[in-house]
Formats: sequence, structure tokens, C-alpha cells
Amino acid sequence: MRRTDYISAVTLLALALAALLEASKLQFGRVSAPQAGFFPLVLAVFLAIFSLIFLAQAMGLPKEKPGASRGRSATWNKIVLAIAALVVFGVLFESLGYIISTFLFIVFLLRAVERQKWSLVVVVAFFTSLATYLVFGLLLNTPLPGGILGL
Amino acid sequence: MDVLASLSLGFSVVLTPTNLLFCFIGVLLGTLVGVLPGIGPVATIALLLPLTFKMGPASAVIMLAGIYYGAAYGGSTTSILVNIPGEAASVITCLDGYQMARQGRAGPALGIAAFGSFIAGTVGVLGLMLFAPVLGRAALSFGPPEYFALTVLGLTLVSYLAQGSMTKALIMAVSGLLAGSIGADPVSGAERFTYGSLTLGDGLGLVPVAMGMFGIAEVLDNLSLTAGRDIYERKIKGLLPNRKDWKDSFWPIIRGSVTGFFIGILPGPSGTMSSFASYAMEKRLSRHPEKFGTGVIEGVAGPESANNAATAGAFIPLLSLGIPANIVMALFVGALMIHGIQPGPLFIKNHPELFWGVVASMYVGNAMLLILNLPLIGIWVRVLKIPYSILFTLIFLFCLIGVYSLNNNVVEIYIMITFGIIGFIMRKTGFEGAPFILALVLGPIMETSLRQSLIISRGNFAIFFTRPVAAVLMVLSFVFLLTSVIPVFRSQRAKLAAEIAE
Repeated sequence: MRRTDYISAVTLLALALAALLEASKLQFGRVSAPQAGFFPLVLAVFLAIFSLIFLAQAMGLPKEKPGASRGRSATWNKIVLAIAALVVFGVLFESLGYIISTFLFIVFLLRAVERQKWSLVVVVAFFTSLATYLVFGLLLNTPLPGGILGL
Repeated sequence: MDVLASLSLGFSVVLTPTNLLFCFIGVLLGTLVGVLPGIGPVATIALLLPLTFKMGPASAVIMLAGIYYGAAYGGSTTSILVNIPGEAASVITCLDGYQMARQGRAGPALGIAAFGSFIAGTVGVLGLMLFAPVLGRAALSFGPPEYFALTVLGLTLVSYLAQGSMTKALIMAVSGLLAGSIGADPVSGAERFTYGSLTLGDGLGLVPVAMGMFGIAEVLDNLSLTAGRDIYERKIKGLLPNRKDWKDSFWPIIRGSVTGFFIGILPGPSGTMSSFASYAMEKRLSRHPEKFGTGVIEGVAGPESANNAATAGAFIPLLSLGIPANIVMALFVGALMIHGIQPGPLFIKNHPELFWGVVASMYVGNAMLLILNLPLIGIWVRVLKIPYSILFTLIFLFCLIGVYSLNNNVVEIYIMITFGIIGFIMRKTGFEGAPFILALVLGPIMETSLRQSLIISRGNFAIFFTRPVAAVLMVLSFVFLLTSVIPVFRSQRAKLAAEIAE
């Protein structure tokens, strides 16, 4: 069996069972007068069925060559850092304000993820945060948090 | 009202300075995001959606439509020059377009893509004009069973046409429906799966999910690949295709336009599907199929026409049935609803100025694109030279601002990041996003119509098979489902998918 397919099938099956459990807590009604729980419950059952079919198919597949798709740690690092940057941006965005958080966000991505030169990083971050603020915040009136700068 | 009178009404809407300006901004922005890989019409429309709340409804829709078909235009430029498709719909253009560029024929390739798109855009608009009102009138007699059957067929089709395993596609469709049931029950208002979250109470937002699954996930995927980009540097001369080029491209453009238009009506990523279908068809009809992939102009003309015609076709289910066929169309629903306009069978009758205005704006926009794009190619090439490290930072930033600006809600940023991670894992494990997103869009329509049907029929499922229109649609869905399960047909579908992907 293919390892990734096997893992996805089992995960999906678990998801289907969780959905089944949660949907059964909602009011089902009758088939002639369905309530809020009716549709999610039917869907959870379908998801379980399809996941089982998928599991069966995954087991029938020839085994994949070992070590063919080992992730290289360098690129995984990048992805984890990029995701972390996004989450931290979400946390700081409203309290620090748009300009400061955007500046820090770009500095982090360019320096920590991409390892650009400091001079380039600072220049790009400065102008991008300012320019996007002018375009979105002032020109297009997009509501952006002012934060500690109070802009 | 006959067609000519209606069209002149439409042109009277478009040919005002304000609307012409918004049409221009729309197609220009559309082309730009079409050129940039990783940021597409979805993110752009989401970014500009809050801005349209303050515009008149006609200006809003005209600009957003411009972004949509403009992106289809821009995507081809990068396919031809850099071998990087700006949009999924122009993946297939890389095959022959890039080869033509390497042989020094980038000019005619870009030229025929632009002219083909213009012709196809016009054919698509003609089709939209003829079919939407007819279907709209027919749809007036549709009840809940018909709508339910339509959504079932839509999801079956998008799964059937997905690349790879149909089981995986169906799993994605059902998961999307489940995700769509988060929030208030559309019938009774009871809360489902919200666990006290106010944001989830309104349901899982389409924009954060779509931008996560496509925008963020695509960037994460690119970060894991670190592919080199090689821009084709040679002076582009002679954009006009010669007489032989025209002779070779004429029928591919016509066939591509018609095929593209009808595929466009179908739900799902119709732009991509139509360009693949057109390429496969041209290869099959050609007297020299072995030359495809070496830089034949038919391989550019057909698919490029098809994906532009498809953008016009995609408006049909939205404007006549009220069912969005893809994410962009679902965003249009949002843009219209803000102005208190409900897309559906009554749309054309109640808002003729809006419908015909959009149709006329598509003529005008296509002409603008033709004039605009040829001289601007140099600028687009320069845009592509922006290093990816800076580009991806910008894409992230646009996604973040876009999601935040919709509701000023930080929770939606987290939803986007979550679906970005999910989308990334899906790419690595071979699951497609399209069925999930379409299911998320169609979920509420499907549930409401299913429950109403069951109430009408007192719990008897036969209602979906005793009414002629619903029965035909349901039988079609079952045919697609069964043919993917039965081994003989299964290999047929695999062959079809392989042929398209070839």
C-alpha cells in the first residue's frame, strides 16, 4: 500500500467518525421534516463510505519505493518559518498596526526565510509597507488597523 | 425587448466615463494578476470587493468581470515567454507557446493568443446573450428538486473531471459540503459546529478558505520546490501572425470558442478544463498530431480561445439560475447581494440594465485587452523579473489584507492560514482543491433544496426521479458516478484524463 494514501485514508475516516458523532448531537428531525442535523449526518455517512473505499483502494496499490519522497529539512524549515510568520502577523496586526507589523513581517520573510542581504531587506520592507499603506489604506480606503502609531 | 434594443441599453450603461474607467481598471488589473503566478482573480476580487460596496452595482460588476476575463488573457503571456503559466487555465499553452518562443516566434504566438481570445470572448458573449435569457425563463419553473439535482450534477461533474482518483475528488466534495454546513442552519438558524465562535456562526467564509487553499498553499508549495525561473530574453518582433498562421488557427479558434463556451457553463475550474479539452481535440483532428508540442500555432490558438470563451460561459449558471459555477462567480454573488440584488432566474428581467451592461462591457473590455496587451507585453515581462522571494512576500501580504478587509476580522486570517496548510498537504498527497471549494459554495443551496424537496414529498426520495428535469439531471449524475466505478469505464476515464494531461 502507498503510505501517504494510507495515512490520508485513516485521517479522513477519523474525521468522518468525528463528524458523525458531532452531527448526531444536532436535531435530526424526520426524513419528511428534516432538521439541522439531517444534512451533516448524511454527509458524514457518505464521507465514511468514500474514505473506506479509498482505504481499500490504497491497500490494493503496489508498495512505493522506500526513501523516494523524504522531505529535505532545509525546505521544510522554510515552510514552517513562513507559516509562523503568517500566524505572528495575525497576532500582532491589530495591536502594532498595519505599517509596523507589515514591516516586521517582510523583514522576517526576506531575512529568515530567504536569507537576503540586510540592506535590501530593510529597503524593500520599508517601501513595501509604506506603499501598500498608501494604496490600500489611503487611496482605496481599506480599513487597516492604526495600532500604536495611530495612523 | 429584442436583442438589439437590449444591447443598445447595455452600451448606454458602459459608455459612460465612470464605467469605462472601471472596465479599464478591471482588465488592466486582471491582466497583471494573470501574469503573476500565485496570485489570481480570486485574491484580487476579494481585495477589491470592499471597495465595490461604495460603487454603483453596474460599475462594481463591470470592474470585477474585467478582472476575471483579463486574468485569462494575462496568464497566456507568461506561458509563452517564460514557460510558467500565470493561471492554471494556461498550463497547456506552455507546450506549444514556449516552443514557438524558443524558435523566435514569440510574437505570432502572443498575437494569436490575443486575437484568438478576442474572437472567443466575442463568441462567448454572443452565447451568453442568447442562452442566459432562455435558461433564465426555463429556470422560473424550477423547484427545489431541480435545484438539488443541479447541485448534485455539478459536484459529480467536477469530481469526474478532476485529475487523478475520483474517490479522492468525491471525498473532497463531501468534505466541502460538510465544511459548508458549519454555521447557522440555512432553514432553522440553529447553530452547527460553531463551538461558540462568532466568526464561524456566519459560516466558513469562502474568501479565506479559497485564498488559503489556492494563494497561501501555492506559495508554500513553491517554497518547497525552489524551482529556477528562466526568462526568455530575446527581442520580440512582429506580433502579427502571418497569413499561414491565420489559416492554421482559424478553425482551432472557432472550435475552441464553441467548446470553451459550453464547458464554461459546467461547474468547476472550467477555464482549465476547456483549454485541455481544446488541445486534445486539436491534436486529434490535426493532420500532423506528432508535431504538437514542438511549437505549432494551433496548440496556442485553440486552448487560448477556449479558456476565454469559458469565462463568458461561466456567467450563465450564475445569471440565469443563481448558481455560481466557480469561486469567482461565488464572489460575484457577494458583490451583487451587497447591493441588494439576487442573481437568479429573475435577474435579467428585474435588472436588464445590469445584465446587458455587463454583456456590453465584455465587448468593450475584450477590445481594450486587444489594444492594451500587445504594446504592454514588455512591461509584463519586466514584472516577471521580480525575484520570487519578493513576489511571494507580496502575495502573502495581499492575501492577508484581502481577507482582513472583508470583515475586519483577524479570526478569518487564521482560517486562511489553516486552509493554506490543509491545501499544502492536499497538494502533497494528491487531493484537488476544486471539488472542495465548489462544494463549499453549493452546500447551502444543496441543503436547502434537499430539505424543501423532502418536505414537499413527505420524505419520499422518488420526487427527484418523477419530475422530468430533475430526473434527467439525477440520471446523468448516476451515469458519471457509475462509469467511474465500473472497471471498463474506469480505464476509459483514466485514458481520457491521461490524454488531456499528455
